[in-house]
Amino acid sequence: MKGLMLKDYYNLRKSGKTIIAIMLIYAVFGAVSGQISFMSAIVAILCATLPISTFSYDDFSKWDSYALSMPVTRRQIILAKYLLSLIMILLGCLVSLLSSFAALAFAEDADAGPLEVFSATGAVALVCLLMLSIIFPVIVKYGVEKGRIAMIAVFLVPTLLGLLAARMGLLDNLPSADLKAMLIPALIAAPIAVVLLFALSFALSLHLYSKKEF
Amino acid sequence: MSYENALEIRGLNKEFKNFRLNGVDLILPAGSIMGFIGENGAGKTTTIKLILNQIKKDGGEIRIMGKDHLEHEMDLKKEIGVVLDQGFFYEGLSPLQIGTILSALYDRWDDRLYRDYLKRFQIPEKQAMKEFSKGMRMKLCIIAALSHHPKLLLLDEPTGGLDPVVRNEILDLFLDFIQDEEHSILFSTHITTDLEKIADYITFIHEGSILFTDAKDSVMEDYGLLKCSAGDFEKVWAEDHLGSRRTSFGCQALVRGRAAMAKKYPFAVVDPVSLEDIMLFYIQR
Repeated sequence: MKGLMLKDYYNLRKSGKTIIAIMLIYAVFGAVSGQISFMSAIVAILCATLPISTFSYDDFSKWDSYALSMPVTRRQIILAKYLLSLIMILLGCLVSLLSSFAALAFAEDADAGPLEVFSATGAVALVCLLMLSIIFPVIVKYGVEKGRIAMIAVFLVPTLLGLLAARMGLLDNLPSADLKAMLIPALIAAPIAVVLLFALSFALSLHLYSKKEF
Repeated sequence: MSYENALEIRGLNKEFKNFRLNGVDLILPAGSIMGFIGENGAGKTTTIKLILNQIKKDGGEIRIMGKDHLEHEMDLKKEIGVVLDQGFFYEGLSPLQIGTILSALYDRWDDRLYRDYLKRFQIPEKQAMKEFSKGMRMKLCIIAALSHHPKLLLLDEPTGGLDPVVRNEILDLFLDFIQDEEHSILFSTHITTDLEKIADYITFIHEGSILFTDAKDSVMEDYGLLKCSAGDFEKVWAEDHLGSRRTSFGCQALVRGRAAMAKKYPFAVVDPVSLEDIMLFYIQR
C-alpha cells in the first residue's frame, strides 16, 4: 500500500508545485492585507482537488487494470486513497496554520486572532473530510466527472436550501439557541460524527469497487 | 517443481452483452511459450483479464502453477509478470519513479536488474514516459514485468506497432526468460510471425471459442496451402479443405495432412503455410 500512495504522490507532484506556489502567494497577500481569515479556505482547495485528481490520473492511464495484475487487493487500493486524503488534509491544515500565523506575525491589524485561526482550520478540515466522504463513493461508482459535479452539489445544495428557507421566512421564528452551552458538546460530537462518516464512506467505496470489472 | 502446467484453464465462460467466451480450455505446460492468436475481439484480452480476476468469470476453472487462481490470488500474482494492452503507469512518471513504486509493491523486486535492463535498452532513467517513443515505452513495460523475477509472463500484444529491430530485441528477451525451465510465457498477439519464431504451442481463439490448440511444430507440419488452377479446384472435395480463396493464378485452399493431400490431388501443389494464412482462412470461413 505504501507503493500505491507513492504512486499517487508522484502523479501529483507536478501539479502540487503549482498549488504550493498559489498558496504562498495567498500567504503573502494575507500577511500584507491583514485578511487572514480566508487562509483556512486554502486547506479546502488543497484537500478537495488533489485526492480527486488522483482518480483522474488513474482513469487516464487505466491504472486500475494494471494494479489488479499485481499482488494488490482491491481493499488496499481503496484504503490507499482514503489514507492519502487524510494525509493531504493534515498537511493542508499544517500549511494553513503555519501561513496564518506567519501572516499574523507580520500583519498589523489582522481580522482574526489565533483562536479563530485554529477553529476555522479545524472546521474546514472536518468539512473536507465530510465532502470527500460523500464524493469518493460517487467517483468509484460513476467516475471522476460525476464526482466533481457531486462536489459542487455538496456545497451548493445546502446553501441554496438555506437561502430559500430564509427567503420564505422559515428561519424568522427559530428558538434562540443557547450557543455557549452547545459549544463543548458540538466540539466533541462533530469530529466523531465526521470520522464515523469517513469510515462508512470507506466501507461503501470498497463495496462498490469490489463489484467493478476492469 | 511440483506442477506440470504453468496454466490450466477448463471450461472458462464469461458472458457480456455483445460477446461470449465459450468454454475455453487451455493448457500451458511449464517451461514453454504459448502463442495465443486470434483476430481483434476474439477473446484474447478477455481471457487474460479472467485469469487475473480483473473481471469475474461466470464459470470454469483456472489453475496457475497448480493452484486455484482465486484461492491463492495474492501469492500467485507475486509470481506473475504482466504486460497489458492498456494499463500502465501515468505517463508523467519516469522509470526511476516507476522502479521505486514497484519495489514497494513486489517483495522480490530486483532494482539492480531493473537498472541494468534500463541501461541495456538505453531507456533514460529520469525522463517522463510521455517523451518516450512507442518502442521505449513497450520495452519499459516488459522490463517492469521481468524485474521482480516472475515465473509466468502474461503478455497481451507486447510487440504491437513496433519496428522489426525492436521486436527482435524483445523476442530475444523472452527467449532469455524461457531458458529457465520453471518459466513460462503466454503470448497473446495477432502478429503471427513473432510466434512462428519463438512459440512452442499455439492456441487459436475465434469469436470466443478455441479453434485449435497444439504444438507449433505440429501445426506447421500438418497444415498446408493447396494451390491449383481454378478449374482443377472443382475436383477438390469440400470436406478436404478448410476454406479457399481465388488468386490471380488460380485457387488456394487450407488443408490438413500435407503429404496425404499432395498424394490425393497430384495436379495441385501443397506448400507449407504461414500461421497468418491459417488464421485468415479460419476466420473467413
